[in-house]
Amino acid sequence: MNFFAFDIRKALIVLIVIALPLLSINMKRSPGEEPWYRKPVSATVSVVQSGYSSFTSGVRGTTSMYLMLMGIKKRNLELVHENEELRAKLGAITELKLENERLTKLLDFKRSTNMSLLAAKVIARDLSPDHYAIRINRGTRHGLRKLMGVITVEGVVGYVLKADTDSAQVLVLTDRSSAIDGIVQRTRARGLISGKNQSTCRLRYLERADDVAAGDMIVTSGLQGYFPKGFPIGRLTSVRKTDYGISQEAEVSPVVNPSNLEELFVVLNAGHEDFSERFGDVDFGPPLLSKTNSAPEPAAAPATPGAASAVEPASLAPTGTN
Amino acid sequence: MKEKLKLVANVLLFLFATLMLATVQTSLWFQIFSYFPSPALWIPCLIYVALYRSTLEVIIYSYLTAFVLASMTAMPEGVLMISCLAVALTAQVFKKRIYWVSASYVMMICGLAALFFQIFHWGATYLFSEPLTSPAVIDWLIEALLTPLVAPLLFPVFRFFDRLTDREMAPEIAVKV
Repeated sequence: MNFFAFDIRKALIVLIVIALPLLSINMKRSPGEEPWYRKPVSATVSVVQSGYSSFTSGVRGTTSMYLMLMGIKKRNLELVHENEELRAKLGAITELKLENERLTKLLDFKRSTNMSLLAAKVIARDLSPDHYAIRINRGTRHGLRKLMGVITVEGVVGYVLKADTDSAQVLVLTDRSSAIDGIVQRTRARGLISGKNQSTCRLRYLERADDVAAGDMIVTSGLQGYFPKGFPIGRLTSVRKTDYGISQEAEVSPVVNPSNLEELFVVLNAGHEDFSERFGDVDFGPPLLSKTNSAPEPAAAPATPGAASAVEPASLAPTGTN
Repeated sequence: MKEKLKLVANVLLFLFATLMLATVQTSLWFQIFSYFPSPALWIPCLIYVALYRSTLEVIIYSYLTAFVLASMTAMPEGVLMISCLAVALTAQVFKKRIYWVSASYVMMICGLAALFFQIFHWGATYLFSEPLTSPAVIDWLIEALLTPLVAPLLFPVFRFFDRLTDREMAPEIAVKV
């Protein structure tokens, strides 16, 4: 057997196969451009890998967005709930603040006057839309009596029509059966205030020669001590004088808004207080609200709703007289 | 004797219902909706009696209703009595002319009654008290529109009162609600 007798081709192939990896291992990698033979593979790999990457990042993004949305939805619900709670609290606080302001104003007014006043709260309205009476949460047990004047810091509200043990019915001055003695502040002309509709009163039985004009302030006369003297009732809006007759009639816009009453005072004793003495003929101006705490209050003295004839409110206003 | 007691109990139940409904109208409604016109909640009570009782009972019940309501309004009692009576009798006459068994009838007649009460009151003031020269017509209309909404809810309660006191009406005049 010849030791060197082998197939030269086979030997060459084996050699190349063995040499290729060695060549590859020992090949110095150049940092520059990729060799041409790798480019197709690299491109394919790049495309496929990018595809996978986009897919996975897309899935991951969608998933995380979904999860985030879930979280956001939950958080949103929590925030909405919290917002509602805060709004409710804010509403309550605002309401309390307003109530506090009103009550402070009432308290300041009560402190600044000699009158004996009883604070009361409106608890009900009249059954009929054509009558303007309210019910307050104070009655005979608290010292209320029929015909006592009812006021707010701004002006006259009405007077006690019926007094029960724990509550009382107050006839608002805009009720057509109410009657309150009033005087024109500027000229001291006297008349009787009675209601016309929800927001207007009439000043009746003014003498024909009385000097009255739109814009004049009407105040309480304080004759019988139910109201303080000189306390504002309303402002004249128009005066009507017919061709014949002995009197003239005027329309009055009440200082107090009768459909906006919450807390008020019952005048237990007017204490002979005279607002007009203190402030003279000061023009109260339409919104008396801001004046009440400070001095410029048209003050009152013993006054009277039904005035001279103030006994039975209904009987004060002769029916059918114009 | 027992029958009379049941009759008295029935009247008292209806008067109590009138009182409660009127207080809800004047106080609870006022606390929630302030001075916005309320439904005349007591009207269905009067109308139920007007529809299903004799004329004599209706007259007596109208006066008793006025007596109950008088403490909640500045309206003179006489005017209130006349207005209640006029509404109740009108409802009775109306029923003799036009009647069908349905909740819509109850709603219609209660709405009309709420409106007619105000109209009768308006007229009565010209005859018996200080004339109502500036009626709150918008309030009347809102009241007349709101009242029918509560009537179908109240009628079953009234029928329950009748059952309690053995005054159930005959089936042919029952109200389907």
